Amino acid sequence: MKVANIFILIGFGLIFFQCRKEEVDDQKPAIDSNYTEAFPKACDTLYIGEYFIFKSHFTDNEAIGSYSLDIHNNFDHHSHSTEAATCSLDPVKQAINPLIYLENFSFAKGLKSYYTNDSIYIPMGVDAGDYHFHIAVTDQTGWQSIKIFSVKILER
Amino acid sequence: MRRITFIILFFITSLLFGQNTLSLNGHVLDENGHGLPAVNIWIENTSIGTQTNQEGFFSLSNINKGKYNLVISFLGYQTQTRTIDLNENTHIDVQLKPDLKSLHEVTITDKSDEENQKHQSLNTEIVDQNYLQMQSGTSLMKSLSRMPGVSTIDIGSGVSKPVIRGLSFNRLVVIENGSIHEGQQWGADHGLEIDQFSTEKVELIKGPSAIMHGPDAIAGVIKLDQSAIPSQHTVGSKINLGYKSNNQWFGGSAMAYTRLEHFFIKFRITKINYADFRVPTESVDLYSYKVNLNKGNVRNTAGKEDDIHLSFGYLKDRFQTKIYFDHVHNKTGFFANASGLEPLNVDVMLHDASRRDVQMPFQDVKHFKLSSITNYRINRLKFELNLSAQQNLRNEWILYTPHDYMPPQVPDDVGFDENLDKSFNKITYAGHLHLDFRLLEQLRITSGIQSDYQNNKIGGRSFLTPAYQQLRSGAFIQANYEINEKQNFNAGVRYDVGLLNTEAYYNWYLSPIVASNDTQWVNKQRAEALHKQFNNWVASLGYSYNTKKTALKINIGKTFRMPIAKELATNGMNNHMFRYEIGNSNLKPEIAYQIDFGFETHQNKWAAGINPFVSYFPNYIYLNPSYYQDNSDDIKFLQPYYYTEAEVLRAGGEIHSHFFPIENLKLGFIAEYIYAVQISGTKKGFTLPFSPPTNFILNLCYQLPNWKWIGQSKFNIDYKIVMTQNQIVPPEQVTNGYQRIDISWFKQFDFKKQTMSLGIIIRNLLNTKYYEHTSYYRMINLPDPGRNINIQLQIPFSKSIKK
Repeated sequence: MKVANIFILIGFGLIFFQCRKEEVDDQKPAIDSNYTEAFPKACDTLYIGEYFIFKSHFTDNEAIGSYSLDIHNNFDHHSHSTEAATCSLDPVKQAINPLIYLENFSFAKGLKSYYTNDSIYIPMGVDAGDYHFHIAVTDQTGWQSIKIFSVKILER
Repeated sequence: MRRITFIILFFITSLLFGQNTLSLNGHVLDENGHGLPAVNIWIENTSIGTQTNQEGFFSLSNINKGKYNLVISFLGYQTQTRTIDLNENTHIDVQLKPDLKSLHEVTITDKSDEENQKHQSLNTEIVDQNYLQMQSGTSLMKSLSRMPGVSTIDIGSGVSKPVIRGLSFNRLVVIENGSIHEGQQWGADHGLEIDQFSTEKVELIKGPSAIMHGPDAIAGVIKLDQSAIPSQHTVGSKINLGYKSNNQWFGGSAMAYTRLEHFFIKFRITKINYADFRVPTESVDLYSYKVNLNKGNVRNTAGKEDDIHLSFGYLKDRFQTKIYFDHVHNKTGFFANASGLEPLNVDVMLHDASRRDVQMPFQDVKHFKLSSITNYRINRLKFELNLSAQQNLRNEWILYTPHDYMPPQVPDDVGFDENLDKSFNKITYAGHLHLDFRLLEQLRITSGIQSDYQNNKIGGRSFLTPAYQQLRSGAFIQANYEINEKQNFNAGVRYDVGLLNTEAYYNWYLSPIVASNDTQWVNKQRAEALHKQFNNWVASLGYSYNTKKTALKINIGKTFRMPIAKELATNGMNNHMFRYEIGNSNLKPEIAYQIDFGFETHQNKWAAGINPFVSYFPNYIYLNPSYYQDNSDDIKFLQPYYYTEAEVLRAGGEIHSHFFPIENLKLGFIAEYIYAVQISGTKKGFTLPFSPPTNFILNLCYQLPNWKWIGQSKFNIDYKIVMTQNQIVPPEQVTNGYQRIDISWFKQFDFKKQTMSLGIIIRNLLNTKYYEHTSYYRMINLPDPGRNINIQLQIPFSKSIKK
């Protein structure tokens, strides 16, 4: 079967031709919320009717794309994270007017390291209690890193 | 090893004379003297043929007096040809011998559509119900995934999407009883919705098959059939019972049938119930969270299934019509800690109280299908008409958790239950007419028209895929030319036109729009109405070279696929991937070019085959993970994924072989390899998502000799080696390789003249902890199920009824 051998060779040749590995970005960005000035950290308190400064440090091997913040209530104790468990939680309660904070931030392209310094206001009238603070950072390749921890939002 | 045989063609002429019509009855037995069901019987050089019933009996009537060559063939057995001088009503007994060349790691073809198979230039494999029973996967697709080139994308134990050579979703076609099976195949959490007990035969075509089956068949076609037809004047039943230890799976299916002279009817009921599946780990790492699993039970992955099938038909020599009614209903829980792949809303006490209950989140799917196949033959012309109407109703229930700007409580007047996250109601009407005409002795022309209409309605609180209406029609013509005994050539073209309307969507809740110090609260529009028309053409060229021991195939095809509503107009959160998906209304039809090769050789003691392919997509439609381009993007928080087009090259193939070192012992080997690379766009150099890793199966199958009261039985070991998958694309992770051992033992025994069969299968014998790269739960580090002991029992009953 000479004909068959030729076709097999062609088939394999094509496969191996495809196999030249190209260099691609395989690194996710990193979120550091543990340095001294970082805020908030797990179990920290934010105050209603006041601004706080969101400080975190993001790094990536190539370029950071954007980051997002989500602050949502945890009145029903809905997750069981190891971090959340270390914070003391208030009793379960019904949400009436919980804070819903959803925002995305993008910035000048090409940065490999970025310190956030965003001023965020907690409006008057929102429910006090346990909240989750959810940070997501995406690099320009599309890799995303997430960090979620518990915070309290209280009246001063 | 009864699944496979290689086509051997006989060229013996027969003489036809006489006027009186007679009948020819017979009984086909296997090597142990048991009746063999579904054996193909036909009279050479005529269009007269049939299949044996569940007990191995067959009957042909209205045959003229004369001398005939009767061909009896069955997968895995040597084909027999009997010369019969028909002068009076005749009964014959035939005992088939197992075909040593056959192997169950590779199945080539069946005789039932001998003409088609002979001209096939694509790689085709067929398996029967015994194979499915022996694999005993958690779903039909899992049972099929051992076939070379087939894999699955899974969510939990109950939902498996079919994958052929790394392609899935709308890039392959599933045909059941002649009609295309339409569900929510665009969705991640959509399984096949087909009863695994009702499927009697599976045919897999690898490679672009769009000419005959419509443009979506880029990767191939999976044809499922409830094909066994009872023989004349019989009544019978069959009961299947199964148990799987890992998820406490209990399943049963009961079938009853009868056939008179020309009319038959079959009825089947299936019931399946299973508990949460168990993984060999105590906890999983869900992003930065550690989630403890109670005794390794994956919280809330239990489910149940209730199916009903009714089929009946009228069969007379030249005319056959069969009607199928199928209703599949299943309810499957999703891993409670990971709906949205975000750790939320878990009442551990509630979920861990029982392993068998299904709480939210879960999906409830009902699939109704009414379909028919009608065949008519006159001389050189064959007609086939398929008509179907089906409804796919899927409700996804997730405990209400406000996200985006949803209010803490859902108002009463929204018109849906607050816990109904998404609801789809898709209705499809389809028709397919084939004409097959033998123009010359060597030239056969097949042509046809195909059309379908789909109407998909949506409901529930979340938006992902828009409501749409779609009408598609196509016409094709294909020629098969037999150059000589060994060589065949085929060529075909097809043209398709599609019209697609997608509906606009507005949120039911209010979101703020800030414009110059003024905040307005509005029902934000998420999707615009689209009116699209797509036209394109398909072409293929094929050549095959067959000798008794070897076969060579080559096929070149150009296919396309119309963009679907989800790719054009989605704008919402995917609950299973924790991401925000955005459609692209400018997508063009996706084009694919593919070359397929096949080479097989069958010797006395060994056989081997290789099936490589190479394909090129100028504009593969791909959901590209991205980032926020500016602060004004509407979507808040979730990572945005945009449908984009990228140039893609794919290549790969399968190798299979087997060897008989001694009689009764077979050693087999299967390998699968897929390579894909994006050669343009933002993910240049990356692969495609869900690329199956390279894997090998080493198989040992031993026909155990007679031993005490047990008699003969069969023992099988599969040793599967999966390589590490380093070819990944965001958001995937590298998945380490693993090795797994599956063993099984099969036995048939007689009880009151009926042949029962028993199978014991142990999957993942060593309880190995491993991750499946193509499972959605891979993203949350949930391993695949641990050791699973399956027991399968099949009890038939049948008798003849008086005329």
